[in-house]
Amino acid sequence: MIETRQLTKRYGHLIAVNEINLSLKEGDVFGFIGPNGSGKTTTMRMIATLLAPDYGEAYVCGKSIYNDPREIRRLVGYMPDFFGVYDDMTVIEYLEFFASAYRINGPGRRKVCEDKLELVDMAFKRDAMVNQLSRGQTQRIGLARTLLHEPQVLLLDEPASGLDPRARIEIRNLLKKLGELKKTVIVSSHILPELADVCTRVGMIEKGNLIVDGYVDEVMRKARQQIMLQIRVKENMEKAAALLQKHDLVSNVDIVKGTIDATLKADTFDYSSIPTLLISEGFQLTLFREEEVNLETAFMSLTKGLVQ
Amino acid sequence: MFGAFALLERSLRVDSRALSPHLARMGLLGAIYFSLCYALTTSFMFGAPGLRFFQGIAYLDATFMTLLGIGFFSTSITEEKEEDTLGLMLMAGISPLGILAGKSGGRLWQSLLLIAVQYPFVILAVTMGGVMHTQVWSVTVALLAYMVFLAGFGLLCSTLAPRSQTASVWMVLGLLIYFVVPSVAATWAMSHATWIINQGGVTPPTTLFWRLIEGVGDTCVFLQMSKILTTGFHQSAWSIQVVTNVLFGVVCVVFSWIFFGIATRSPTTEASSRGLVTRSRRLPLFSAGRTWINPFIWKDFHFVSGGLGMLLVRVAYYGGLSLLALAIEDKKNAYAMSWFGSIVFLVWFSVAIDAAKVLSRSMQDEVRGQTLASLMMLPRSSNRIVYSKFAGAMLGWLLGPFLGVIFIFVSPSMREGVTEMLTAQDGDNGLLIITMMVLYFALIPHFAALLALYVRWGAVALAIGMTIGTYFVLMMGINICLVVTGGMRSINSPNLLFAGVSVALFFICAACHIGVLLRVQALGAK
Repeated sequence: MIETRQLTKRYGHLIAVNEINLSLKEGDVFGFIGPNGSGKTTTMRMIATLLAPDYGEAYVCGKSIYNDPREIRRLVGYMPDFFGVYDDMTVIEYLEFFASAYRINGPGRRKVCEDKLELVDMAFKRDAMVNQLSRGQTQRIGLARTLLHEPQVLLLDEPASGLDPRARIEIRNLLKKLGELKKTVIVSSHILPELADVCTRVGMIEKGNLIVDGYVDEVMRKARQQIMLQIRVKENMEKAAALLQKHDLVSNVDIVKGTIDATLKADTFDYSSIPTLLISEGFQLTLFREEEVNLETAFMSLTKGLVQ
Repeated sequence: MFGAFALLERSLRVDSRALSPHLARMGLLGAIYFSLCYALTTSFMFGAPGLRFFQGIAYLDATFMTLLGIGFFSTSITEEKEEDTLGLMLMAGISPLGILAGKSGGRLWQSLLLIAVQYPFVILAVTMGGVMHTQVWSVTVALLAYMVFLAGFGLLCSTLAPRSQTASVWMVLGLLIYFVVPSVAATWAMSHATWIINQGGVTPPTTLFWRLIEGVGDTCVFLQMSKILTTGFHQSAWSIQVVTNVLFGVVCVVFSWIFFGIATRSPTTEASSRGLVTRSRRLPLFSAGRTWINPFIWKDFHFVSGGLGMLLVRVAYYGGLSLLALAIEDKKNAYAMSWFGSIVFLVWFSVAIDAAKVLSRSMQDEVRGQTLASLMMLPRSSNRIVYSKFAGAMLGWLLGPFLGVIFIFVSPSMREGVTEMLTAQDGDNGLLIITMMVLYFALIPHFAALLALYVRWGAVALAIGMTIGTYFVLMMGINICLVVTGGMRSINSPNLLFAGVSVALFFICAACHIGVLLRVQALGAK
């Protein structure tokens, strides 16, 4: 569906995007993660044919960004991180304007617009002036506009920014639905837990370089270089900690707020001997779990915090 | 106290470090240099070349400053209101006076510099002959005072108006009063003086009322300049116009300060800006209705050109002017014909300005609203989008030239003049002259559309300035070419000049088209 080959963009000496290779299939929901200025928006804009790359190639549904930009625009719905709206129009006029621009004409046009308004839960603002909407409502209208022409590919740059918690959950559900409808979605966000829920794949970009790209489980696994166990015993916490410290699989032990944090040695995945040992030594376990690795911890562990 | 001017200090620092204001001043000096050369090369044909040169510069300055001032000063506070940053400034501890001084002081300084920088060069007019140093100095002072008036009045409009567009409209209306009332007063006072002389009395009139009327007539910068530029002027530079203009400007600043709190209390971004396009279904003719097959034409016709409501305003404006001109034409005396000529010029100048206004707004709205990226993502070519937008914006405008052409056919003098030009037997090709004139008028909207993609305010004023600059440069350049190549000796030299200028103007217009398309694509990708 989307393929980029060594996609590169330079601004003078600054390399905004450096030889990015991506390959997304139909129905993939790809979470694009990276700090501000890392090159997410530039990559999206190049795929959307708004920006010409300096080097490399990108294909959307088999169409080249160089040869078929207009065909790509028909297939893609792009919602920028910040976009303007026509202040002097009503919501329905605004959507009808874009629907008409996408050649959706005839009596069905209004129905299409109203359906999309329903989809983003904005039907009650149908006749309101666009400039009277809140930031979150404007964002939803933007999303409705992006979906008007039923695009095969969606490029959503920070779609949840400015939305209240309820609207974020709705957007999350909408993204899931779009994935189920076999649409390919690239979505960037700073709110990583939300992406983890929605995305099938994630890519982490730093200083223009795509440092990680893969299915969510793979990325989590990559991030989890050392497993940390959280253990609580009923009595003799220090004694239990000392015992764990001597265990072959454990590299480090700390007691933090009444919990033993035991970090295992690298590449240790089978740690069943640890609870066995503690029980056999007479400790009563009240808690034994592996520290959860989420996208946030994965992002922190895989990136270096470099900003250009 | 100095804290209050922190914003002003910042804006002056920014201005002194930025390249574009210096380039603008350099450009202005370049234009003056060219007009100086032009006046010199044509001095053998006319007397008093210094006066002609200086007169041209002075009136150009006043016109340019008026047009620039409308966009430049009336947006000083409203742009902050529209961006919701006024509250942030107040929270940052900047006082209302500091905001007023910072937002308009820097702009006033830039404008004053534009006039001041010309002074050493326009002094050359004295050496060319026909004008005295006192006259140059008096006109400069009059223009500086006029700038203070414009800045103060623009600031007041900007403080009180909720949006930039409203502030600009208020300023235009205020300026109309400023130009019309003194003109009427001066004409009235002059006819009264003539009547007294005819009755065997003496002037000037001694009653307070007639002195007041005369005083009102002296407040307009254009009337004051025409008075200064008459032969034998030897009055003080500190005229009624200078004193009243400066005083009015200062009073406006004081009122802006007083009303600042009240006027900026409520947010303005929610204010509707549909102009004469209604949302009510009771007036379907004046509402935007359903989107057309070409949505860009629909949008720009209604939301840029003003829809049917503005179409009717245009009918009233052009129709009213045409009828007035026809009524004056009937009188058939020299005085009436000079007014007739002015109205005809006003009609065609308005057509060009209206085109410039709608085209620049068509582009500027997209830039300000940051909507170009959404437009460029549509599966249509950027050329088609841009030209559809232009077509929509011009749809309402078309009525102006249409009525103008009808006026030419209806008016006997105009019909006669045009026929004479087209059938002239003395070697001058009238069609070439008409083509050149039309292209000059067409250049204003072309420049305005291009400039709207680069500047925040004053695209129309700058476009007029650039068109006048182009006029001098082309005339001068092609004149020199003709002299060097010996074409000047030919009987067809004026035709060669007009043809050369027309071709050059055509290419400049074409370059503007390319410039607009490239800039729209670049802004869409930003």
